[in-house]
Amino acid sequence: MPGLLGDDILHRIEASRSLPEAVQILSGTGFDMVPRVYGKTGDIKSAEMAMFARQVEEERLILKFLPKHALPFFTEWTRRLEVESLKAAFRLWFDHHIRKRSISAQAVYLYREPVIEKIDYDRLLALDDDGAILELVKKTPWKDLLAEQLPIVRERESVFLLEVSLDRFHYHRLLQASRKLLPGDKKTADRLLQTLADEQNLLLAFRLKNFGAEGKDLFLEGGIKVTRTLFNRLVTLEEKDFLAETIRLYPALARNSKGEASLDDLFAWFTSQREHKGRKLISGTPFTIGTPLAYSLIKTLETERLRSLLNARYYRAGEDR
Amino acid sequence: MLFPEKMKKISVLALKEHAEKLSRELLSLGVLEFVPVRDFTGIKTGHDRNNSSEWTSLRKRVESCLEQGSRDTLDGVVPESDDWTPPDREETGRKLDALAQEIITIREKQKDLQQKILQNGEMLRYLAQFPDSLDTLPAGKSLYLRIEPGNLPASQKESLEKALSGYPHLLLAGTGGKEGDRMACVLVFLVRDERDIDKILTRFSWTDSPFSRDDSDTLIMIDSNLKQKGSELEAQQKGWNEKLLTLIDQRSDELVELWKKIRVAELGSLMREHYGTTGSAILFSGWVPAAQIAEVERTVRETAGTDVYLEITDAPRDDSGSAQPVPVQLRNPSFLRPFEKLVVNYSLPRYGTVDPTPLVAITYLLMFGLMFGDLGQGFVILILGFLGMLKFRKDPAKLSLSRLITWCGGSAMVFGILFGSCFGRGIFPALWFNYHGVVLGEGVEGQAVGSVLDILGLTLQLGIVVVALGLILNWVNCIKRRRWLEFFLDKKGLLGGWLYAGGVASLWPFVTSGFKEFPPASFVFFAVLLPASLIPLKPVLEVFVHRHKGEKVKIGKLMLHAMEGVVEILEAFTGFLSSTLSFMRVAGLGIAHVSLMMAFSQIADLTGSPWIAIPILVLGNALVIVLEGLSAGIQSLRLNYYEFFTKYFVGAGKAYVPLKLGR
Repeated sequence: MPGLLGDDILHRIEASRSLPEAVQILSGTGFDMVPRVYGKTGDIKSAEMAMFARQVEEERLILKFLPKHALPFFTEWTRRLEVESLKAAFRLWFDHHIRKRSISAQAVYLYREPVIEKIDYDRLLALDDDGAILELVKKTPWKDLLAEQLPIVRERESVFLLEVSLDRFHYHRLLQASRKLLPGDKKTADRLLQTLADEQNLLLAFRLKNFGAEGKDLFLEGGIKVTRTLFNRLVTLEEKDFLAETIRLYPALARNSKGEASLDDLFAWFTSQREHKGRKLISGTPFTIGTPLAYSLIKTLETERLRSLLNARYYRAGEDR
Repeated sequence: MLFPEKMKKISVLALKEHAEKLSRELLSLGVLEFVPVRDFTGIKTGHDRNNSSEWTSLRKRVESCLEQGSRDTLDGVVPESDDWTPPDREETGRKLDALAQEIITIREKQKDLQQKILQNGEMLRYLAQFPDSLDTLPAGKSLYLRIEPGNLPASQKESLEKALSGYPHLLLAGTGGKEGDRMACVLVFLVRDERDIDKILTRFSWTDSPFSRDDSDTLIMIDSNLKQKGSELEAQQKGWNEKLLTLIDQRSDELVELWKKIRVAELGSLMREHYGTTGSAILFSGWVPAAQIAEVERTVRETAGTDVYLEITDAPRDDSGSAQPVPVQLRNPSFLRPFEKLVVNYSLPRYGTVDPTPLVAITYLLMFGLMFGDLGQGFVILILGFLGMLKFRKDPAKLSLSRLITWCGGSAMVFGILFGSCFGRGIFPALWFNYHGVVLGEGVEGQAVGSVLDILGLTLQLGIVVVALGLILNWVNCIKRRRWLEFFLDKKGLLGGWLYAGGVASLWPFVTSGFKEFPPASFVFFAVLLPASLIPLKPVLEVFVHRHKGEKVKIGKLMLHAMEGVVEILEAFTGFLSSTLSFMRVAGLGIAHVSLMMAFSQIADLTGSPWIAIPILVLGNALVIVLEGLSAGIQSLRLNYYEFFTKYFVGAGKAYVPLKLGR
């Protein structure tokens, strides 16, 4: 299993002067598929797809070595990668069928291999009829959710609620699967899920301002800091008050951002919290689900950070040109 | 060999005007590891930190460019010490920016090509799902792909191609020949683009043609054209890749020269970073191997002339607790490097303490051979090791492992000869004892090793020797570090040695007499009970030794330390017993190795046919080489780490890393 990158390499990428230089820094690391694919194709999106494929491959490998009792939970945990694929697919579908835009340039970068469920993404992109799409996913857990959400997507001409619903549904499945874990593993999983729920609720509350009462139904149970009452209030707050409330919840956030938090600070804060949680898990008791979970969590964060750094480098190079 | 290289600390105070020249000369020598100068007030340090990090960043940029070329051009490159002029940093940056821009331009072309390759692949994938006959589909289209026969004015063909360039497509012209000024074509494109493409076709006066049964070869033709297009795109992509490699390779000499200059400037900056400065003087301090200190002193004096104050001090005997630990450089001959890796993998020995590398080489190979003694299988491992050494010449970690495997193969061969075993069969007489015969119960009466119990006894004796050696090495460490309390009264000191020797002397006659004869009580008292009862002395005495000046010793603290001593008695007994008995695993694995080979031999013999017997023997040997070889290797390591090292090893040493020219 390839190792983790560490801050030094990420800082070097951040400080690099061009995309080829940034990519080259990854040679000999656990992300060596990036310089390999980029070196062959010059295409950072192909390299990103290879990175995602490796992530899926690694998590599927972890699944093979887990004991039976931990398998349902980790399978659900891995399903978050399927959620990512589905979101990307429906964004393309929406652009093509609802917005009537050409998606040929982007569609080639859609990851089509199965993560957990076998879904024919080519067909999904091609189908315009909701019934046919539901027929396509009838053997997957996503069927009912899509049956409910696809008409909303058409009516509102937005995939936002569909994406939120996918996340919510995935979270509920994780919660359900955690109930079947052994006590030690359940404790570990619950702690992680609580953080995820708080994070999701806070970010949702910020993004849901335009959805009024309907948005309030999207609250995720299971968090510790963000209660339903607080969530309902947060949805109604202006950005300044919202961030002030967030600082009240997480005083450390204020310390990090010199008393004035922005939405970027909020995102960065949660990322650092997840990483902190991951590092804590990895140094905890071995032989629990914590170790693979921590690896997966930290690896995901690193992949996300790396992807955004490489993209920033790519688009900055575009501006320079 | 048994101790790390002796180090000396050199501290130099010189005039600032000599700083540059001193830097060059010391870098050329490449033996000084700097220590921070922090002990004096009024001295500024680290003033060149920004400078060195900027050089480092430039160097990494050059390395990054070179790495994109076809070969490792920096392999073995050492900057020349006669050229110390730093390159113009801004000019260098501009040069690298220009090269980066050229690289980006090529990468951009590659990116566009890659998108076309992927789109072409997508069309091929969709074509494979197309029904065999076009006329079974309405308007020649599946869910993904549309095949559109038609015609357009011949003069418009190129313009149409241009208009379609943003969409994945294939335009085949001339399948039906020319009809006046119109050209028959087949256009293949993705259904998802038909909204846009239909508009384009209308603009170019495209007229649809009906499918006919004569067009049955159309699909084959489209398939081969898409494949051909794919190959052409791949060839173009390869061409751009080669262009990039050529670009870097053409510039590599220039880049290597640049790298050398930048590296020298970077190292110079790094050195200056370590200098403490006053108004007119510089002060620096660092560790140098004792063997090279005279050369360093001469160089400094020759460079700085009379304007220099130089002080050379010995490294402390015991640097534990020091903020500046003495760096460690092991000095083993190259053939012992694989075993040095095993030691360093555990931890780097602390300065001035025993480096067990040569002893580990002996104990490791002895244990491996005893567990895996077989001439033929050892030979196979030896060959595998040699092959690994050839294959991994440029990978230090794998090369070292291959060397270790070669050593293990040699050890297995030697013990195979001693045990008379080749591929699990007794082809030649044993020089020492026949392991197979002993395991089968056919041992010769009167021989030193005639039964399985004798093998167990033999490995216990090995354990006693290894544990005793560990204790002796600990005494050496204590003497070298002047830790007299530990030397005399610790459970691993002389007292522990007395207890261990007494314990062995008391138990050995008991065991060899078939558990019938007890040693006399007075002997047991003097050999075991007396040293054991003295063990709590050390923790109690430590209270007096380590107390602060004028501090009163509290009874409670004394009692606590006495209790600790009692626990140490228990630890000493269980520790010595378990460490010694642990070596029985050597016998266990050796017997398992022989038993497995005997089992395969018997299965092969039972078949009665050489055609079946030979594959069974080959497979059996392969299985034993992999599984038992791995087990023997791991267990030898485990015994060294947990039964041998724990008796004396002082780890957490700091590696000696001098500043020198080179990568």
